[in-house]
Amino acid sequence: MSGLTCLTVWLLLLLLAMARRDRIADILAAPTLPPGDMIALGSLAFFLLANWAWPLFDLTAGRSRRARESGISQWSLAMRQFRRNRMAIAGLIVMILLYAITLLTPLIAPFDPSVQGDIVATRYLAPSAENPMGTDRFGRDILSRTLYGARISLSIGFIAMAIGVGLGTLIGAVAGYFGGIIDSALMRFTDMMLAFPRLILLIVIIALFEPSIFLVVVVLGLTGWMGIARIVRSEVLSLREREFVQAARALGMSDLRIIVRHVVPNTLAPVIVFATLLIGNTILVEAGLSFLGLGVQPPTPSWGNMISEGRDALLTAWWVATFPGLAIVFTVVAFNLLGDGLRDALDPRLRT
Amino acid sequence: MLSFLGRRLLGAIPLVLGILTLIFFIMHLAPGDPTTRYSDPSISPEVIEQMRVNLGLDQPLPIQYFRWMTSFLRGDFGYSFGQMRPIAEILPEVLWNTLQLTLVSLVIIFGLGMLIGIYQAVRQYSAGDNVLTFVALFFYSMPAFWFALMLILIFALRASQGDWVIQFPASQMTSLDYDLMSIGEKIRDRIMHLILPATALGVGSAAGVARYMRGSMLEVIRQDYIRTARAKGLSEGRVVFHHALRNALLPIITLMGLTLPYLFGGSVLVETIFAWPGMGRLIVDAVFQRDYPLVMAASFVITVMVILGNLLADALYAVADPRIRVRQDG
Amino acid sequence: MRTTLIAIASVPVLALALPGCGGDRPERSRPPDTVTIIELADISKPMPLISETSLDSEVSSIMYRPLLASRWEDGELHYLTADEDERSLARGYEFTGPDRASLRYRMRSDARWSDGTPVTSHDAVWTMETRGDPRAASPRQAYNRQIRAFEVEDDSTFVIHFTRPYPEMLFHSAGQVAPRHLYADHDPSQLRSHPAVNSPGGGSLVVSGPYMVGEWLRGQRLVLVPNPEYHPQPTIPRIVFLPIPEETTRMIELQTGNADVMDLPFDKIDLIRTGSPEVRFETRRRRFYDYIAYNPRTHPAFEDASVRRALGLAIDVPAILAALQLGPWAEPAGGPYAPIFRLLYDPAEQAPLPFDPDEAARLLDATGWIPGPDGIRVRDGQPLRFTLSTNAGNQRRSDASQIIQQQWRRVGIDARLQTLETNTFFDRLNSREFEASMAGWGVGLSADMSDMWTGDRPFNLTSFSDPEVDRLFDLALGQPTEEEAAMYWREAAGRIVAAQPYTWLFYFDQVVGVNDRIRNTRIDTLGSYQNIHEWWIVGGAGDPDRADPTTADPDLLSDAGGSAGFAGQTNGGNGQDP
Repeated sequence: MSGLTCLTVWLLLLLLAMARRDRIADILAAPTLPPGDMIALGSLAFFLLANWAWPLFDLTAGRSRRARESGISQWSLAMRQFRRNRMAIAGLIVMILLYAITLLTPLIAPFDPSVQGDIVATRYLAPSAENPMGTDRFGRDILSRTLYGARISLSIGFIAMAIGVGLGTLIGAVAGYFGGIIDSALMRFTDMMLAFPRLILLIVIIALFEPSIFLVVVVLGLTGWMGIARIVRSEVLSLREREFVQAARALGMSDLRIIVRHVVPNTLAPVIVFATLLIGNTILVEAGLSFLGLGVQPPTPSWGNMISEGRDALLTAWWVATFPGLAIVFTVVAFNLLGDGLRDALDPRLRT
Repeated sequence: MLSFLGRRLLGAIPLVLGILTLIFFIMHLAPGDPTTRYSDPSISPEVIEQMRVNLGLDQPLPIQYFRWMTSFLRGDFGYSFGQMRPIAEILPEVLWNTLQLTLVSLVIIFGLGMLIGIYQAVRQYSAGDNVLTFVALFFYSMPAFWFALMLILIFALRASQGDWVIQFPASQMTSLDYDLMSIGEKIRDRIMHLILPATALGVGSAAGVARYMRGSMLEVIRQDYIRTARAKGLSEGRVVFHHALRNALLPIITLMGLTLPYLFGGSVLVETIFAWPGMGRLIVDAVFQRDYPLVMAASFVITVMVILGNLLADALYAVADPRIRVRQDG
Repeated sequence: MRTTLIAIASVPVLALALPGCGGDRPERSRPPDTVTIIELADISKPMPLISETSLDSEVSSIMYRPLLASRWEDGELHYLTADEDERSLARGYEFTGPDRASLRYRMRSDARWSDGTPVTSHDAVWTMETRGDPRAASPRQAYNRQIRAFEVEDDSTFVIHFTRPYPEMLFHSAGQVAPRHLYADHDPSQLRSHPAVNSPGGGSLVVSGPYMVGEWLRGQRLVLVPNPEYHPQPTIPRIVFLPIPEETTRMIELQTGNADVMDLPFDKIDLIRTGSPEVRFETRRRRFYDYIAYNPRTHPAFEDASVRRALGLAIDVPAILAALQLGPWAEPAGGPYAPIFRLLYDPAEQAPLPFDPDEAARLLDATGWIPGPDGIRVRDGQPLRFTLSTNAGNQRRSDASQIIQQQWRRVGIDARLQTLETNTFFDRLNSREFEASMAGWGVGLSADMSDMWTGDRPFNLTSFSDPEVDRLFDLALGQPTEEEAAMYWREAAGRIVAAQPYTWLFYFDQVVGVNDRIRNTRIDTLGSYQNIHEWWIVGGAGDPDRADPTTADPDLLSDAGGSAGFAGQTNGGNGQDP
């Protein structure tokens, strides 16, 4: 990041802190500190510090960093290609913004998302200066709920993706590296999971226990690893015969070490691409589950259940379902742009 | 190649049976059973118990499984516990409803998708390309059910209130007086009822196909033989549509094979919104009502379609790309 | 290749250019011979012995004639003989026998099934016998509990011998009659898979009522057409039921003018009032209520009646009603009998709890639940924290539970909301695996609520047990008439309310939107389609001002002639006031 960017961000964060100083005062004064508020304050402090300190670090270490970056290693080539892709940069910025928002929500959100005031007076208010996105059936501010919903939806997306990527990489790498029976067995298992009607599994498991964030995340993660497994496996299959692996084996390295330290890092490129796309896809699936009543349960806001709650009011209060929907669209667009950009940058075949 | 296909098909049989067995036991693990919805003070527990006996639910689980498996292997799907009708009657009706919708949406998905992808590739980096990229991405990232609701709101309700030239019906497969219409009117009625749901289902995926198509076309266009064709003086149209497209279609064709499960499985959310009696709703309702035989039968259809779809994709790929064929036979 | 693509792309464009588009659009007018009714779901089993859903029951009541038609008036159910209501199969009835424990029905002789066979006492007896047959697993099997035997005297007369006289003798016997000749040879346990029930169209489902099934496209529409054997012929030649699950879609269909009758959610009433002035509102009064049940077996706090009372006092029901826009269509509930039941409702004993959070706090303090540092009340180290579960898909209850959670929080009660998938929810309810649950009942037309408040009956969710209440129930069930039994039911209800095993939340109506071109509807507590055979359409079927009364398309009427034109035209008055 250039110094100018850092300065701008630092100034914006200062403005935010100024604007919300009473909220910050409230948080600091409260006897018990809920974890959300703690994280928000901590993140704000961290960002302020980082944006102030980075240019210092950048300037002093300048020459060696530039030397590093002008190299022709795979990563620097990729980074340069990525930087040229403006859409991808836009996606990256939006993603960073979103996750920053999730950390800072208690400071940014104008209202508490769960407080119901005088319901009759504040219900279904159209978007206005007071409530930029209007209010819902209980008079709760939609903007605040959307911001808090970002936390839930993005966390679900990220953690489910992490589970899926972790599991998929493990299975794919093991299958590809060892081959033979292990490979066939694991691939059969993968095929079975792929052929399994995911929706039925989701409904039954969520019905067995009760719908909760934890359950949704786990189930989505456990049913989304198959694509990664396949990708990793095919990459590992082709890598396995390469000289550096054979050399490592000749040197007597254990299989585990070879897999972890040499093979997997080279499969990262397509996995990263798939992972970013997977986050977007998971957010959409969670929204669909909420529409069926099986996702995150109210009063906890998630974009999916906000659309579901607003679907019956579409004729009288269109804003309740529309804004969370738009939030989903823009978030998934960002992730897709990012994923595409990464794919363009990392895939040598597409480079001219 | 045939032996390859044959082997795959043979291997698929234990896969299907395994999945169905898993589904069977998972479904029975879920609390409740088909009689739970009769919870009502006026219905005595003896009646509920009798219903269970009538449905064979009082038997121990392995026996129920055995019974189901034997009749299933004989080709008998059994009776739906919810509708108390032979599933062999239910499935074809609902499948046909679903196919009408998904086939039409498939036309949108691939027709529109390919057109957009080709345009984007031929006019890469132009303003049109960028706009289309963003628009396609926009629709690709949209939850289909949200899109469906927006569509109805605009093209059915606002159109009716504003008395637009073209107004679409908000739900159902046909109009009330369908039976009284002439053949031409009937076709038009069906198409009008199909357009909104097919669009809701298709546009998002069309954007996905467009992305694939664009990437594939771009890769092909850069090849030497295309340059040769242009150097030979062939018209741009012939170059693009005759030479480039043929080779760029490869990944798209495999994609077509993979849409088989969607063709037969429908989409529960869009079907609910449009009151379309399709497979998506059928399966989900069956799971919610614990209609075990129907869940099993529907899962069977979906699973078979997934496997066939993969097979089809691989086979089409082999057919289209001679290099693969040679490698496999050799 | 290019041409192929262009061809594919132009199909939709061409289709829209097909006949009818562009120039003259037909004016959006409602068909003069069809009534369109939109429902949430499709029917399932349109046969009295096995009807499952409430829609099944309503459609059954259109298609099958009862022994005695019923009407809801003055807060009571009245039974009408054939002289008073054309639909009734019984010309008269009388209580006989030494202790008046037998009931003789005298049926009319001119009633016919849709296939021409006469309706006889054998049909009535067969229906009731099969209803009690365990193999049939009829939801109404319990009606036969007090029936000892049937005795057929001749084709029009039969006697039911009960074990003793009790208030519900008529209620349990005067219901719809099914055709014996169609089903008697069938195994009763397989009634639900009878081909006539599953493919009822075109006359295969034999019925006796004013309408029969013309066509049933599952999941799409149910079309009822007049039964040629029913006289006088119903006015409207075509009744269509459309099942649409998504509420927004239903509302849009109503607003674009595609529906005549539809249940309306409360928060859409203003929308329809302003946007669709051609729709009037009918009300089906106060049969349904929501409540919270407390399970004392799973949480120690619920064992104490004062705590339960406190929980109820902390809920501001009028505020909930206002928040959910239930307005004039709901009222706070105090007990198991809705105010519409004149004989059973006692305003003194069954009054709803007031909203009194201070009193609630006092009661909780008195029973040892003291607020802790975080505001939540604690006793013996255990916080007053429990799970309130409800079933998924019910917006009203989900909303109410969220409001109640907040109201309880202010008094120091921490309720965790849990939404369970419907099947799972009822399963847990039945197996008593819940702490507090919000659910709803439809108040039955029968006063007998002993299944909910006695011993280990399946619906005694709260394990309520009071020997005095049991005694009162026995007394009530032993009375010969409803009036005499009512006294005991009332007293029992009073005792139950005092113990607060539930918090009764509110009774609510069902508002039905009816397009004003449909006249002569009688929509009330009993149902929406009670006199659907007497409805008429302004400017259409049955309109007394129309020149030609038989303009109905002959294709729409069922075959097998016998239609007597338009006899039995009733007065053209409106339905009830909204």
